[in-house]
Amino acid sequence: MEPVVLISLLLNAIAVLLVIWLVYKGGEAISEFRPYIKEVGELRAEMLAKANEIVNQATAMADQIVANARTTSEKNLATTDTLLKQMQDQLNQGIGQTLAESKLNIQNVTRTNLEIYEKQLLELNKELEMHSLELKKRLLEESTKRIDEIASSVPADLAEMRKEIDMKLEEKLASVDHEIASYREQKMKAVETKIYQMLSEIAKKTLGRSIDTSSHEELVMQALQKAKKEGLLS
Amino acid sequence: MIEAKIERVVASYLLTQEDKIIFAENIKTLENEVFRKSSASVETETASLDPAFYEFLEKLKEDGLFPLTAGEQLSLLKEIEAYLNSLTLVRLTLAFKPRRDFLVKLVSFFNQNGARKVVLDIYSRAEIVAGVVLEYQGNYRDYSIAHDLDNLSTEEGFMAGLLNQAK
Repeated sequence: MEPVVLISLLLNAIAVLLVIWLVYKGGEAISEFRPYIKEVGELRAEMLAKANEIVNQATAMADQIVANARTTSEKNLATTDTLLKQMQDQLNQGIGQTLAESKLNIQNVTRTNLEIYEKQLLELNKELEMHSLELKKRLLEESTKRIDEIASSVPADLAEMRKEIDMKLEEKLASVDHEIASYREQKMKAVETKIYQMLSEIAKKTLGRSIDTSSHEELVMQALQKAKKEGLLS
Repeated sequence: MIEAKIERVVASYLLTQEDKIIFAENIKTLENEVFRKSSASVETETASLDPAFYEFLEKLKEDGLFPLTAGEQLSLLKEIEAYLNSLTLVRLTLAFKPRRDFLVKLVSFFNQNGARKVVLDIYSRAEIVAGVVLEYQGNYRDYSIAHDLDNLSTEEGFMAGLLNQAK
């Protein structure tokens, strides 16, 4: 057998022995802790029982408190209803009284105010009447004065106005004369153009027909000579 | 290049744009016929020709300018075709319908006085009264009496003078 294989087998055997020893030691350690584990279990059960007891007591107390509160609340509600009714009665009584009082007050105030306004209006009317009378008087005076003034200056103004009118008339006449002259010129030009157009049209319609063929040909040749002279054929 | 003698004959027959179109169409017809029937000559294919073009060919024969062989005849047609394409168009508006001899005179005038050989495009409009409206090489000029009449109206004092004369 090879030494390597021998060594390997030996090492395996050592490992197996080591594992067995460790298992044994583990079991020993667990058996040492067992009493403590039991004690902890007992303690936990005891604590659980106590907790349950406390919860039960708390629940009973809470129920009692709720019941008490409900009773008190019912009592309070009943009291409140009574109070509300009383207040409502009082309020209704008060409102009726206040309304009657307010109505009376308003009537009084309105009457007073109306009386004051009536008085003021009367005074105002009086004042207005006075002012109007005064104004009429002043207007009459002023008008009379103006009429007198105008009446005294009419002859002089009339002469002045006549002069002015004469001047304006002359100016207007001159301008109208000028306008008429230019209008006549324009019209004359338009008439001349119209006459010329008519003559031209007549000439165009008749002249062509009145020219014999040899004259037509001659005119064409003359035109072409002109075109040649103007350098159109080069 | 077309021979001067032949050109003179062509010029006497080829005056207007219409003539040019007839010439071009007839030359094309002749060429097609001669090529189609390889044995035929131009002389044997004149039946479908325009009378004016036929007359032109007759004139060439009469003057001894028409070749005898088919090949030479085709060459001549080619030369005439090239001459047609070299012509410049002159548009003339006249107040009357011109006679053929006047058209000859016009073409002759342009060919002698102008820089190019021409073909005429003639319009007849009585409205121009007399004279001519010329369009040549991009230039336009109105030498008509109608144009002169229109211009007279704008002359200062012309109308007054005319009216005075009338009095």
